Order: sequence, then C-alpha cells, then structure tokens
Amino acid sequence: MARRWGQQSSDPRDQAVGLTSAPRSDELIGRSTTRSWPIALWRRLRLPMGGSVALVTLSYASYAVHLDFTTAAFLLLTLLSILSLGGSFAISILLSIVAIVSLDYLFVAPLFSLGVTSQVDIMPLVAFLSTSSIITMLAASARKKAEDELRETRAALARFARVATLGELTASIAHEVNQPLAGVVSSGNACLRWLAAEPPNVERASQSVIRIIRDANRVSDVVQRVRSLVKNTPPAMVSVNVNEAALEITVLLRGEIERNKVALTIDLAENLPFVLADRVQLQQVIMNLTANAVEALQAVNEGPRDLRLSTRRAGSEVLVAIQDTGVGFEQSSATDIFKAFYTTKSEGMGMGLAISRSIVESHGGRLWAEENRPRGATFNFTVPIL
Amino acid sequence: MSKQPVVLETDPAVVFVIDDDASIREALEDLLASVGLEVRTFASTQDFVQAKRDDVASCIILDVRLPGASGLEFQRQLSESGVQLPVIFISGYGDVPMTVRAMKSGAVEFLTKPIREQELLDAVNIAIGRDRLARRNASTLAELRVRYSALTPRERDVFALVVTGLPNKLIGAKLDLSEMTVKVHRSQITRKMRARSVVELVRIADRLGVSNLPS
Repeated sequence: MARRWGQQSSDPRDQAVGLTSAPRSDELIGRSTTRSWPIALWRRLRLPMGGSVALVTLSYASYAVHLDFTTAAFLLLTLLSILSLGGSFAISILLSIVAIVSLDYLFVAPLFSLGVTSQVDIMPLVAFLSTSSIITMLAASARKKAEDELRETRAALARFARVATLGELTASIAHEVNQPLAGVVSSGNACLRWLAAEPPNVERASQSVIRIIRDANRVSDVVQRVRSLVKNTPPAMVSVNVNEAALEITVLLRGEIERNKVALTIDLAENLPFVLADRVQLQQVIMNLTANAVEALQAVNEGPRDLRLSTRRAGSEVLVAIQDTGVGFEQSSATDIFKAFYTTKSEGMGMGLAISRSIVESHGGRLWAEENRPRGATFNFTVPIL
Repeated sequence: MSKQPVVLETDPAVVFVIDDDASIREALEDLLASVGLEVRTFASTQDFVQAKRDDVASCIILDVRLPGASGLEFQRQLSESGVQLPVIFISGYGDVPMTVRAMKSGAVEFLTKPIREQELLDAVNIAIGRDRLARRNASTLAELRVRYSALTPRERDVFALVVTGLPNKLIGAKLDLSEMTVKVHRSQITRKMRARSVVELVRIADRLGVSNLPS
C-alpha cells in the first residue's frame, strides 16, 4: 500500500493563489523563490515598468528625432538600467554613471576629439540620471511592497494552516482539557466531604486542594499552548529548546495518538544545543508532521502502529525525525508531496507539508521525506544550531 | 452537602479504578475514600489483570478510552474470562452508540467526565450491591450443590419427581418403589437439603436446575 498524495498542482490553482497577490503558489509558500525571481519580478513590476518605459521613450523622443550618438547611448542606458532593476537603487545609479562616463570617454570624446569639441552637454545627463533614479526608486518601493505583502500572505497562510490543523485536533485538545478538569471537579467534591466530616479532616482536604491546583495548572498549560499556536504574532526568532517544543506538541496530540491506538516512542537527545527559531512555527512543523503520521497510521489494520519522534545533533544542525509505520508514500512522489495543494486526504488542503517546508527553509534548514522498510515514512527536518 | 450515600454495610467492599490519567485516578480515589470506600487504582487494564484481588464485594470504574484494548473490549474480555464484576464506565465524551453498547453489555452506569459525584456514588452503591448479591447467590448455590452432592442416586431420582408435584404414590409407581420407601427418601432429601417445606425444596431445585442435572 502507498500513500498517494493526489495530483500535481495545475494552472487554476496558481491562478487562485494569484488572487492573494502572490505570483505563484510555489512563491507563496516560499519554495524555489530564487529560481523563479525574474518571472516573479516581471509579474509584480510589469505595470510600473511599462509606464516607465513609455515615459522614458517619450522624453527622449525629441532627441531621437535628430538622433546623435549621445542620445542613442542615453536611450540604451536607460533601458539597461530599467532591465537591471532587479538590483538595488544604488547599484543601478552606479552602473548608469559608469556606463555613461565610459561611453563618453571611450567613444564620444575620442570621436569628437578628432576635430570637433564634445557635443555632450550636461542636460541630457541630468535628465537621464533623474529619470532613472525615479524609476529605480519606484521600482524598488514597488518591489518592497510586494515582498511585504508576500511575507504577510505567507504568515497568514501559515497561521491559517496551523488553526486548521488545530481544528482537526479539537477532539484531542478537548480531551486534554477535560481530563484535568474532571480531576478538579472530583477532587473538589472530595475536599468538601473531608471538610464536612466530623471532625473535619483538614489534612486530607488540603491534599485535595493541592491536587486541584496541580490539575488546574495542567489545564492552563494546555490552553496556553493552544493559544500560542493560534495567536497572530509576527515571527520572532529566539533561542529554542527543540526537545521542549516537541514534547509540548506530543501532549497536545496525546488524545489523538491514544484514540488511534498509536504507540508513541519519544527519543530525545540529551544536551541538545538550542536553535535560533520561531518557536511557534517550529512547533507547527512538528505538529503537522506528527499529525500526518498519526493519520497515516490510522489506515493500518494489521501490524504495529508505531510512531517515533526523535531529536539528535547532526553536525551544526539539530535533526528532528518523525518516523511511522503507516501507509507511506510512493517513492516517485517523494518530492511532489511537498508541493502546495498536493493532497490525498478528502478533507486536506494539501498545504501542511508545503508550509512546513517553507517554514523550515526560512529557518535555514531542510525538510525531506524518506521511505521506511518494510513500510511507513520518515520525515526529517533540520534547524541550524544557534 | 448532598445526601450521604448508604454505601457502608459492615462487609468490606473495594472499588477498582482503571484510568490511564493520574489526575482522574487520584481524584476518584480521594473522592471515594472520603465516603469511606476502599479504593485501588490501576493505570492500565493489564495492571488490573495482574493484580491480586481479595474475594470481597467490588466493582470497577473503567475509563472507556484506554491505551491498548478499549474499556468496552476489556469488559467483554472480563466477562468471557468469567470475571463478573459490575462495571461503571467513565468517559470524556459519550456518544449514544457507545453508551448503548456499554449498557447492553451489562454496565451499571455510563458517566461522562467531569463526573457528578452523586451519580458516581449512586452508581458505586448499585454496583457494589449487585456484586454483593451476586456473591451471596454464588455462595448459596455452591452450598446447595454441596448438599445435593450428598444425596444418593436414588434420592436424586426421587427429588426430581417430588419437585414436579407428583404424589408419593405415583412417584413410587414411576420408580418402581413402594410408597413407604418414597416417603423415607423424601424425608431424607428434605433433611439433607435443609429445606423446611416442599415449596422450599422446589425453589432449591429450581436454583440447582435439578430437572437438568444428571441423576
């Protein structure tokens, strides 16, 4: 048996993502941004660029009428600078100046030094520089705005996925809250009875109250964890104890794990170095991968339902592995499963793994899947040590 | 405070609590102890099975959702292995099918967490009472069996016919005995079975299932 993750994403999906003002679904979830940036940039900037090109063409039209060498050079340079908009404002200006000066001295000055004085006057130079500066600035700010939007969209989507995952785990979380609450109620009843006894048994009553406090704190911890996962806070990179973060997630998922009769083994390396990470995002990744594993184990009717969560140091990174004996995935789809909207679940969004990888990569780590023998899957991810 | 449950007869009684959650175990142990019940807690059904249990009236408070075999499965296994302890189920959530299944298989009560103490204490009362009765019945039956085994084969034959209401004469005719002999057998039976009347003899026969017993 193999876990099938659905079909490859197609155009309409990219178009749908386009609505969120991000250029491509891949881009949105933070994959292959380096590979596709020219396309991405072009999509973002085609409007301001089109306008700028038209403006520039117009402003130099007069020169073009009596086309001389300098003007042609200006035109060329302007276009060049527009094309180099991928770079920073300063670099564009510098490039333009270097180019125009070298053109003047290498071609124009030598030509005219043959007998005529240089015809390069200062006005076109000023016109060119100011125009190109404005265009570059506009482009840079447009780009920054787009990037901000992209980042916000990505964060919103990550949060949405987190909330959605938590939603799927409602039963598990409710169990985690209800259990200690039930303890509180029964201990409270017991406490009243110890106090109502003749003579009141104060010692037993205080023991009951101590337990009530302990259980109430347990509820509070769970609520705290859920809240921090749902909270809409900007990513904050802090030093994180991966073991601790992982343990908290297993507590949240405990109900789900038990309900599906999954045997969970936790194998955390001692003295694991801290990593620099956004704690909540890191937990989201662990939660996604663990919830996926539990789901893959659900379909197992014969054989063990084993889930192993382990951490260890791997060179200059911390490696977290989530290993299951579930239905696994086809080797051919080992990379597809990380694509956005790739899913085999009837109710899945297909975003869990894509977002997880996006998060891990934004932390400078890697996330990958391996097939297990005889069955199941292992999802590994790394985060650089602080 | 709500009415005190009348749990305490003089006989000892033990409540077994099986729940994997320490909060629940400890709280229930405390609550039941506060009304004077003896409690023993177990984190898993395996622990319970392995533990040595005294032969006193007892009942089980069992979490439905346990790691490994579920509470419902465990209840079935218990009754299949001949342990007839009354079971009170507790559960974080109780859907109707689950409750129906539990009650059908003879659960005393199905309570959802957080548990209302009076409901729990009432259920424990009923459960312990049920077990006490079952134990009493079982020991009476064992005693009756012992008495029955003291009867001679011939007396057993007569016994089987006496309780059908046949007069001595007809019994004698059926077994080819004189009426006098039947009378003697009859008084022996009544003595050995310690019955005070024919009606009581009939009742005993009923509990022993004498008509089905091999003569």
